[in-house]
Parts: sequence; structure tokens; C-alpha cells
Amino acid sequence: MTLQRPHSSAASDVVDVVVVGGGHAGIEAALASARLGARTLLVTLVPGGIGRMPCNPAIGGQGKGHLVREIDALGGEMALATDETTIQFKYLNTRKGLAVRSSRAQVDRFLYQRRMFQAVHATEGLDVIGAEVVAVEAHKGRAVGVRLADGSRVRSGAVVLTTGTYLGGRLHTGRMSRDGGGNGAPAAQALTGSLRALGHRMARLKTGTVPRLDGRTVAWDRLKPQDGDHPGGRFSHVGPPSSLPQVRCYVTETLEATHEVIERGLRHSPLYGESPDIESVGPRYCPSIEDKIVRFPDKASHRIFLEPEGLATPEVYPNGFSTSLPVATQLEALRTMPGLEAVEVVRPGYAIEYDFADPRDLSPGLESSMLSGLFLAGQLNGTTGYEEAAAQGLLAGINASRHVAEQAPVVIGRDEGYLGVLVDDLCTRGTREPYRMFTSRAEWRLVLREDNADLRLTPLGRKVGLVSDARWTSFCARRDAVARGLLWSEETRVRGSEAVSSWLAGLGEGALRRPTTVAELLRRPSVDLPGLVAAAGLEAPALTEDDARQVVIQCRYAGYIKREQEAIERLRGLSELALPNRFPYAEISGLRQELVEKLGREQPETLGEAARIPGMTPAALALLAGRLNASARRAQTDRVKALE
Amino acid sequence: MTSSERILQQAQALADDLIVAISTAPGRGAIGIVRASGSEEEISTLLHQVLGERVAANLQPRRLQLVSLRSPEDGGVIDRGLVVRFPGPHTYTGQDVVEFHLHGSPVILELATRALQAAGARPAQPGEFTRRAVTTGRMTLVQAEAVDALVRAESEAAVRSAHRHLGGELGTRAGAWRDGLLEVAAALEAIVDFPDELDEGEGGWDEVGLRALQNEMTVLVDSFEAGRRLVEGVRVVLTGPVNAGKSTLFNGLLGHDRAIVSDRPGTTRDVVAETVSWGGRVLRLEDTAGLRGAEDPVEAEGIERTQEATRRADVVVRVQDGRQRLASHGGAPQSPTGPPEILVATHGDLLSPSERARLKAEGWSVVAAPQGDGLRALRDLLMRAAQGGVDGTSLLIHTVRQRDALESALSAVGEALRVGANEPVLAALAVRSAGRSLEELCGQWSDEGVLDVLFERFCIGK
Repeated sequence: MTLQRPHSSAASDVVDVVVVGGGHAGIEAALASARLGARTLLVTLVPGGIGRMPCNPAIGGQGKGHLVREIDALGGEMALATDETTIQFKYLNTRKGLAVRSSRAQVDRFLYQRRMFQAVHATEGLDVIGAEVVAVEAHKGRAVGVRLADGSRVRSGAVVLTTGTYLGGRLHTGRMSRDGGGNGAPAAQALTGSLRALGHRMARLKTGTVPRLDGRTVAWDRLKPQDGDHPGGRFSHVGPPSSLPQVRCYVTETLEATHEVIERGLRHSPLYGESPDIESVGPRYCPSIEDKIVRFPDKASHRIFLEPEGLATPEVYPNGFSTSLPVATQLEALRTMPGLEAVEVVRPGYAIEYDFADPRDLSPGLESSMLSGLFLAGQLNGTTGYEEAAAQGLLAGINASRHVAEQAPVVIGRDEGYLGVLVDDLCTRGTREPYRMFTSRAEWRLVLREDNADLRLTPLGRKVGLVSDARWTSFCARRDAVARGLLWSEETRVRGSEAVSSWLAGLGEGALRRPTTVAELLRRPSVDLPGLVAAAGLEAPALTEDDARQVVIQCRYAGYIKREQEAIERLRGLSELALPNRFPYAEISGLRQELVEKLGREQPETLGEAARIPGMTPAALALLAGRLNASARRAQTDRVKALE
Repeated sequence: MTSSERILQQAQALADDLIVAISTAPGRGAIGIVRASGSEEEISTLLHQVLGERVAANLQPRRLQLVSLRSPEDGGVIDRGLVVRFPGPHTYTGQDVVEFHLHGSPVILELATRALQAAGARPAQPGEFTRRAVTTGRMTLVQAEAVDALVRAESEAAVRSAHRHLGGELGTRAGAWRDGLLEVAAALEAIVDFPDELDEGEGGWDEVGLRALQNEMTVLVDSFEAGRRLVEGVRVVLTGPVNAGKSTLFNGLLGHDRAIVSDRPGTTRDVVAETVSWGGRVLRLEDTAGLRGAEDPVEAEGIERTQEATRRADVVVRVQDGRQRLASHGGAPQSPTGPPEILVATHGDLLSPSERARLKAEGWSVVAAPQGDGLRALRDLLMRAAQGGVDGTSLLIHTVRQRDALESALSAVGEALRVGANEPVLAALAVRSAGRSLEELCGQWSDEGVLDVLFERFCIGK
């Protein structure tokens, strides 16, 4: 295990998997690949920057929290690292129905970075070097390694690119701009050309970050505090919860004076000034403060959340104040806000433009359609957010190591996880703005809950080989406890005794006309399990709070979950329609010649596979489906089993 | 319906080869039109073969030209007539369309069609030109249904109503509801996905707005009966004991002998239907098998059908021989629920004036169908009974498909209102499902659209 090896020796390197980039995608990719037994080399521009959080010091949130728990179930690192470094934990949406609850943690970003740095360096079979990759090397349609800036080569069986915002990165503050990857790191200029030469479509996106404030110059006592949950929660079912002191966040707001300063500064904005410097598309859901003021002129005020970046640093992250206005304007605008009258800025905010690779050029295993053995993950694929990046990195790392071992790639369905929704959205629809996960992107939201991520995906993680024996044992215990609890609630009948009736009346619920099962009673939104057990004098199986909650959720939404599952089965049946060998594509009238050729070449085995062939249109797919005999419907194949 | 199912459905409509059909009504006429639709290349090849290279090449778009139509097999002239070519995409089908205006002989039209088939066209399925217009996006499904209603219209009111659909009024209204649902869904999604990025009172649960949409949609769903009566006619079912004279009355009302009449009980074995238009109002008269305990299986089946027809009737005419009526006792056989009933006593010519007066006093119309006595008064009675808001001044839905789509949208809206603010995701899912039902009705719904509205309305993002 070497921390850094001299470049001269890299020329002779032969490894299984090269991972380029040490951000959240790169870390998960490298860890997964190495843990699955592939000799892995992580190449990064800044070896000391592994696991850095260049934007807000928080993990999770709606949709994102789902991804973090899925990463954990599959054997990734993000949830564990978050739990260990959490300084505030909060459940969101606690009053909007149990099915939509999600988690968010503020972390100490220095501790988080150190935690990830250690994980990488403690992993057997994973080496790190500091270098710039300038090209992906290809031979006979396969990725065979990378070329470094010094001209040396690293030979490998697979390559994972997770270059984040570093490709062609250009930073903007006011009308000043310079090349760079953000956070003081240099940009990588050459790799874009290499991808383009392979046939990948490349385009530009934009994102931005906030100025960091010196917390010692904030008048905290004038601000409204926001506490986390007490006790806090955690993302992973296996690791310990955070033992760090828990901190508060604070809220301030923009005032009329703030808006005036920003409006005056707009002419110096790289976005709104005359002949703007930035024309790339930024995310709608993470707008800069100047975007908000221009787009919503009627809003008199915008809330700004002040989040501490760590326990041992005075740096504060003013969430909601992303800006690329000139430094002087940033400071002037900040100082108009309550509590920030005397604030000092540690680092100014900036906008960054960068190259991304059109994800429609990828397969659902995140492998390049242009070059076998090349995998792309993270912000390079047009996403934004640590969680989106890490989830893709994990999948790409798994599949890169499987590629080397000549195993079929793992593909996660839209009905199996948010990771499946994320990758499917990217590969089939592409994106025009940095893609962030929302729950509203998933069509099976009652099946894909945050609370059951471990139940959904741990078996797959186990099959893949990333779930340890200890974790598997604890998972099986939880799975069985939940099953026992469900069985008990379906079989246990409650009679309308006086105690039960008066308890129900107290909840505003009607009395029982006949003996009713616990499961049925739990469908009533105000009925809670401990209350019911006490009122009816039931003997409930011993369940942890978490497992009991799981039983309640599954009972409460049983009807909706069943409906979604039935719809999922119907769709699966369709996508698993088998396409016979040598299907006469040329005889299907109306099918474009180009597609006839592609289908003939690729010989997809199912309609679902045909759907993933680039260039396939719904109309063409419909023609195919029309030709398929219903008798050719193949029996349901258990995707997990198929991996064996 | 899931997107994949929708895809499958599209597949069936996607065949876009060259089709041909006679477009004017069957029979003889001054002019008969044969029409073909296909790609630019297909139409060019077709014209080349039946008109010759030079003539085909010199056709001006959208201009009638006198030509000789020839058989591509032997070159013989089939007819001289006018041809006009409409280049796509601004045509009825969205493809290139060519029309041959020929002499209106069934033989010529048949020969012309065969010649065009020899030149590569295939006979169109019924309605295929319109279906193609839907496939190419020239028409919405509702407009296509309106074309059908227009062609089948039996009254001025039906034509007026169909024209409103053709003009896209239903689409516009459903579009407005869909936009309303998008807003409701976006506001719900906003509070779920961006719980602490919205200001107090922003986003949330717009129950008032949703109830308003529900009310408007309910009014339209309820118009279905009126719409169906307008297009298909008001169903008037003649029923009664065997040998009461129903078929004689039926023929009398029609003004011609449509049903077989005999003295033998049980002559009519099946439901015989005919559409009549009286004073702009369309009635579908149905003569049925008489009711009795039949042994004959065919007659028993006929009686089954009578009962089925009676269940679906808008107006029931209870027919009884006047003499039998007088002989029996008890009140008129009016059923408390169900469609309005008209009581008709037949064989009025065999009754005395006082007997006729007695029947009339009990609410019976007395007729003598073979002589035509009392038929005019009965017609007036039927027309009054057939009324019911069918004036074509308000928007109506015509088809079962339209009603089903609206009803499923309404039931989803009902579910959203039931789960409400406590379960915003369940409510949002229901609202989305309502939106998709409206999309089936006509317009476009996309889940991506929910996000677009969400980002437009709310300042999202810390």
C-alpha cells in the first residue's frame, strides 16, 4: 500500500481498474472495485482532496436521502461516513405521511473528508496516485488504460471516469474568469478531447457555490436557530450513530436592501451583464441568489440558512446564497442581512462551467456505448449533488470490476431503487440541466421508500459481494423481525372492548363493529402500534422501534403498495418479452433501416434490452412489441438470481 | 394506462403505407371520388403509373386538372376526370393525398380503385384516413371522433355539437383542467420535495381549486347521456305482450313496412331497429319480441333481447291490445323507476267511442296503426318524451371512450380529495393519475411537466 508512487513507475503499471477522480463518485467506484477483488488505481489531480465537499456540508434530503440509504444497502461508504461525522440530523416531512419521510445530515466536512481519505487508504488492493489523465487508451473497441499528462501509461482492464466539474472547468466571479476545477484545484483540459474522439457527445453545464462566511463575525444571537432532531438518526443500519456534539443552524433572510445591491451588481454578472460570459445551463432547483431575484421579482425576501461547516472551523455556509457576482458586491449584499452586518467572507462564491458527457451514450450499467470497459459516473454525466455522484460511482465501480471478471453488469430497475431511476433517466432521456434527484421523478414512490432501502437492495449487495457477513446477518435478523411483525399484525384480531373503544374515540376514530386485525387498524392514519398494543392488551412480538415502524408503514400503505407492485409486474412482463434469435427485423414494415441494422447487430434478447439500444424510439419499440407473440412471454426472471 | 401500453397501442396505428378508398357514398351520382394517401414518394409512383410520366410530373399542387386515368396493367383508359394532389403535411391525413373526381358510376369507381391497387395501393380500412390523421398529429382523437359523429349526424343539433368537438372545444377545456391539475400536483410535490425551501403558505394542498375542477368535470360527464342521444338518437323501445300489434305500430310510425307483421303470436323474434328524424330530433325505434313464457329457444332468446333493450331504453312504449286492456283490471303498468313510459292501446278501430274515452282517461294513447289513426298524436308524445337538454348549445361528450376517460379522471380526483393534506404524496399520485386520464381524453400530460410548473411557480433551492 503506497500513498503516492512516483510517476516514472506508473508507466509499467498494470492494474484491473483505473478510477479517475477522487470525489464522491470516484471514492465509491474505487472502494467497490477494490473490495470486489479488482486491483484498483485511483488517479486524482489532488490526492489530498479525496472526499472533499466543495459545496454544502450536508448529505441527504428528499430523494438524496433515499440514494444514501441505497448506497449503504449495496455496500457503499457514504452512509457510514456520514453517520460518523454528523453534527446535525433531521427527519424531513415528518407530518406528511410516513411514506415520504426522509433524512438529512449536516456533517463536519473536514472530518468527513478525513474519514473518506482513511477509508480509501485503508482498503486492500487500492492505490492512489496524483496525476492528470489526458486520454483513455483504446484497443480493438476496448478500454485498455489511460495516458497521463507526463506521457506515461497505466494499463488496465477497465476505466472509470469520475471527473466531476474538472473537465474544461472555468470559474466565474463577476466579469473575471479563469480556468480551474473549483476549490483551488486545476482543471483538466485534455480528457474532453479524448472522450469526444471516442464519439461521446460533450456539452457544457454550469453550477455555482456560495461565499463562505467567517462565523466569528456573525451576530448569532440576532438569528433564529434551527435545531436538529433529538435524538438524531442515522443513515446506515449497521454503523454507530454520530458521537460528535450536535450543533444548530440559523436562518437569516434577504431584505429589500439586499435585492437593491444585487440588482445594481447584475451588470457585472457573468450571467446577466452585457454579452454574458456564461451561456451554459444551470440547475433550476439550485439557483443563484441573483437568479432568484430576477426570476421571482415579487418575492420581497429569500431565506438564507447559515450552516456550520464543522466543529473546529469558523467557516459558515450561507445556504441559498450561491452567487457569481463580483466579490465586492457579494460582501455588500451579505452585510445588508440581519446578523451579517459585520460579516467577513473567507472565500467568495463563484459559478463554474464544465464539460459533461451526454449520458445517453451510456448503457444502464454506466458503461460507454462507444468503448467497452469504459465507465462514466458522477457530475461528468450531468448530475449535481454528492449523493447522485456517489450512487453512480458505486454502480460504475461494481460494473468495472465485473467487466474485468467477465461478469454481466448489474443493472438496477426503476422499480428497484432511486439509483435505477437516476441511471435510467440519464441514459434514456439525458439532461439539459444539472440533474438532481427528487422523489417526484420516481413513478413507484410508495414502493421505493427511504425506510425500506435496506430491505430492497441489501440482497442485491450481498449477491454482488459488497455486503459483509456481519452486515448480512444483521440484515437477515431485521428482515425476519419485520416479517414476523407483519404476520402477527395480519393474524391478530382486536375486539371492540371498552378500553379499545375509548382509546379510538380519543383519537377521533370510530369504534370497532367487529373484530378487526391489527393490520387493518393500522391503516387508520392516527392509529399507532404502541398505543394499540397498550389499549387492547396485546402481546406483540419484540420489535425494535425501526422494525415496528416498518410494520406500520407496510400495513398503512398496503393497498397503494399492492397497486404499484401490480403495475410494476405488468411492465416487467412487457419488458421481458423475449425476442427470438434472428428475429426478422427487416420484415417489420415501418422500422427504419438504421434500427433494423442496429437490432440485427445487437441481437437484444428481450424487448427491455431492445429499448435500451441507443436511437430506439417508442414507435419502433411498439412495432417490435406488436410482432411478438404473447405466447413468447417469458416467465418472470428474478433479477437477483440472474446475477449468479 | 402505462406508457408502455400506450406505446403498444400506438404501434397498431403506425402502419403508414399507401392506402386507397372510394370516398363518396355507395350508389350512383354525378361525381364519385377515389382518394389515396401515402408518402410523397409513394403518391408520385402511383400517379406516374396511372396518369403517365409527363402528366404526373406536371401536376400543380392543390389544383384540379383534367386527366385520363389508365389501368397500369394494360394502359386502357378507365375514365376521364379531375385529379388533385395535396402535398403533405398540411392535408387531411398529414401525408400526401390525391383525389380522383370521376363519373359517379360504381363500376368506374371500382375499376379506378383496382387500378390504384395494381399501382401499389392497398384498400383502406374503414376510418383509416382519419386514424392516420390522428397518428400524424393532424387531428386529436376527439376531433377524429367528431368527424365520425359529423358523418353520422342525423339532426342539425348533432351537426352543431360535432362541429364544436371538431373545433377543439373539448380539447381546450380538458387542457385547461389538465393545467389546473398540473398546478395542484406541482404544489403538492413542492411541499414534499422541498420541505424547507418554501415560504410559509407557499405550495401545499389546493383543495378549493381541486373541488372546482371536480365540479366542472362532473357537469361534462353528466352530459354523456344527452350527447349519446344526440348522436345515436333517443332509444324508443316498443314492448308488450305477444300479438299486441307492436310491429304494426312500428311500421306505422316509420311510415313503411320494415317489420314483418302477422296474426301469429311470436312473429317478431329479434329486436328490429330503425332511426327516424322528426323535426330535427333523432329517435331510434326498436321493435321487440312480445313477452310471454316461450318454449321455443329462439323465441326465448328474442325475449331475453327484449328485456335487454328495455333496460337500455330512453323511452319505453308499452303496447297492449285495447280490448285486452279493457278486459283486465288494475292500474297502468308504470314502473316507479327507469325511463319514462308511454302507454299505447292498439286496435282502436275495434273499440267503441266510450271504450276509447275510458282508456284515454287512464292515460293510454289509442291508435289504429293500419289506418294511421292516433299516430300523429303519438309521435308528438314521443318527441316530447325524447327531450332532455338536447339542444346542442352546451358542450356534450358523445362517446363511451370520452365518458370513461373523464370518469376515471374524476375518480382519481375523488381519491385525491379523500386523502388530502395528510398524505400529500398519495394526493399527488392521484392527481397525476387524473391528469393522465385527461391526456387519454385528448391533450398531453407529462410527469416532467409537473416539475416544469413547479420550478416556474416556486422559488426552489437554498
